[in-house]
Amino acid sequence: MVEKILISGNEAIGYGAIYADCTHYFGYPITPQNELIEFMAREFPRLGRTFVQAESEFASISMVCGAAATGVRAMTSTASTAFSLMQEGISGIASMELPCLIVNVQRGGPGAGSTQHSQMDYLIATRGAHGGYKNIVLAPFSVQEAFELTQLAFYLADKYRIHVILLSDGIMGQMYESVELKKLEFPPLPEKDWAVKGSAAHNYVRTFVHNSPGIIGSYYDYMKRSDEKYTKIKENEVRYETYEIEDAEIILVSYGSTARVSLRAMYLARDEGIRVGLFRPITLWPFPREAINKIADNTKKFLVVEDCMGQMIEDVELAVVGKARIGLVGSMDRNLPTGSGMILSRKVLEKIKAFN
Amino acid sequence: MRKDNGRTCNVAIAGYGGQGVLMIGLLIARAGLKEFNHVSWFPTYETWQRGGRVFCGVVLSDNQVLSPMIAVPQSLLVFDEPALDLYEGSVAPGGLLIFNSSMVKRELKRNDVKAIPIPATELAQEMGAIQVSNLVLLGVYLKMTNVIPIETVENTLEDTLRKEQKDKLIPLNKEALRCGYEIM
Repeated sequence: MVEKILISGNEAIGYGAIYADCTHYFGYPITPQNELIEFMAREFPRLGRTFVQAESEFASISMVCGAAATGVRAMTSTASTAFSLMQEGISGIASMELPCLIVNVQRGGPGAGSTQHSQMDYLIATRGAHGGYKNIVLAPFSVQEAFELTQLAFYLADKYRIHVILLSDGIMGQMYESVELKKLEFPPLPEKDWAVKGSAAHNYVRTFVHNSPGIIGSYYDYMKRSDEKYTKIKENEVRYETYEIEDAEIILVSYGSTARVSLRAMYLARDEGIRVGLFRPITLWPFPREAINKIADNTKKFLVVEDCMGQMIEDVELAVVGKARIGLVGSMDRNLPTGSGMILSRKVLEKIKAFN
Repeated sequence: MRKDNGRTCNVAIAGYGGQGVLMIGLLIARAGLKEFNHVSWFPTYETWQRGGRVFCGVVLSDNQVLSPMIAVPQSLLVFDEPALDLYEGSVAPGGLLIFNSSMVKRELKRNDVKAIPIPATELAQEMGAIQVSNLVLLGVYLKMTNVIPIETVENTLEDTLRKEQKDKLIPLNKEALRCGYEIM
């Protein structure tokens, strides 16, 4: 049996990156992901890997872009405020089709917002910046899963030559849980023959990646290639978990830390004889739209639990296409014990009872 | 992940920044890992390091922890009066409320919990450092609940301080822990 250690959700992402053989990390400190950059600053140099604290988040995403273009496994991590700052770089990475990992440990917004937890970046993470690209978004709900999804993220990035966003949140990042550290095994990956490795490595034929698919080369080809890639991802990579949905009258839909609160609320409700289930998307893009649609044939009430004013609820609405009623447990349902408050299971239970 | 049908216990700790609230929680969590399969520790604190409100919750369980964000703790350790004002109402009926009576001057409002006043700051002062009042309260908690053997906690405490190169603080910290444990 693998020994269990007690680590934070932020550190678990660092461990995941090490186990996934990520060799280059670039970042800039910001709460509530500081434990991650601190971990990387300590561990990466010790392991002979590259750690750079950049001068800004725009610099760190640009460094990720440069490193990923050479074919190495590269990543950065940040929180909401600075995730905005990275958007131009991420759109560039999308145009160059560079596999890499971008971690967003969400805090409150807009603007500098608060340093405390939130889930207010769902839409920007799943919809992205300008240019109509898509990216895979993975959302862990436990420290163990943060460790595992980080490894999966690097695999999927390389498999599809796409950037992946790991969408965590302040609660997920700060909390500690017991974790089994073990390396996940994945099928073999395609050769990165597109990577820029110096002309000697390419038989002295000049190789480059660029961010202008419509200026250099055929824009239509770029769009066609992207469309095929996105279709393949939607067909093959949808991930989710369900709990007690078979007989459920009400299904909670939640990801990340609020999914933990929802899980507890679900059992509290069942103790009182209310048949509640939980649907937990693990990939936020591709969103498990068909799975929810199918469930909506039987269950007519969905309660979305997310710590914002309602973002994922839009995807749930698109999924059920009018077959069920949808309610929200959002940031307005926060209460103590934190300074800025948080959504707690008793409150979710209260909302379940009120949802008729 | 199934519903709890083995041992599950949780404890919340509340005070202000600098009192060692988070440290005690992590100590319970680290020691708990030697006795339980699943452990979670969840902190919340304000942005400044000293003086802000601090709270953490620990869950120790034979099964997967459903939610680390505990709202109705079975046990609550309270370090000062504002923390009591905030969290007194949250303790589960019949639960345990251990509070630092050196820093709580009012009467409790709850009469459906087992309340244990401990003059932790004064006891720590007698040992020579108010900083270890947190360990006095932890000692009381361990004695009252038997959730983890005190020897396990002592070993974890020693390992933690050694790792942080604070070896010379080990005897004082252990004395404070024992003081709380034996006062009951």
